Amino acid sequence: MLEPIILGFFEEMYFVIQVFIMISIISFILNHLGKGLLSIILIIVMFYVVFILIPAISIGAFMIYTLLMAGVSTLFVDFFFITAGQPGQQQQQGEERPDVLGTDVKERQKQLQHAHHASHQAIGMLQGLLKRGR
Amino acid sequence: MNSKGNVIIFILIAFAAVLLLPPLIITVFPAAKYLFALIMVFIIWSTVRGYLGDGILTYLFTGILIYFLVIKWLTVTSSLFVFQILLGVGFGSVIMWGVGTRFR
Repeated sequence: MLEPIILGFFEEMYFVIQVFIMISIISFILNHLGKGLLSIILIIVMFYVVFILIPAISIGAFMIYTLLMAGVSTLFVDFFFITAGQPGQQQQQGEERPDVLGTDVKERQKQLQHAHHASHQAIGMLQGLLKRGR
Repeated sequence: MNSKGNVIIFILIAFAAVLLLPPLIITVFPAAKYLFALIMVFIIWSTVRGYLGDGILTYLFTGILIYFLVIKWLTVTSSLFVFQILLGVGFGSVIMWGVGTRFR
């Protein structure tokens, strides 16, 4: 009973989307070429493509373009990349939190300074020994 | 049920409630239909005029869209209009967050 209503609704929504596609295309052509014979020819060609030649592909491409322009890609980035690496998830799995304060880097720098100092001392001692040997 | 399940259920309930709000308002207050229709006509007119400027094509496309979106399917269009407003104020992030708490 509801099937004709639902199918009719979707058919009409397809037509509405095609109208929106034509509005976008006409606006694009008029902005770039102005009002002229070439614009009219291009608009007629695009009308044929959108409504008759490949309506399904046109609707799909326009929907993807509209969703991307509306910011759906940022939602996917939020979901797959940003929230996927939150520290709360790692705490739940019993792992240690990553060090974000840089204390491990400071420790490494101190160790490097100590090693540098020790190497200088060793070089000085070697030079002293060589001088004594002469 | 754990707290993660509660979050996603509450978000879905809020989402459905907001989408059902315009039809409910129209049912309770039939005069609200004209208010929604006026808003939709204004939005369609301003959108098409923004694309095409003043001209015969603007009237043509506005007429077609008003017939289908306002006269024939006003309840659906008003729900989608509310949904668009919610997406504009960041409701999509809330949905993604709720879904993320469930599936992570």
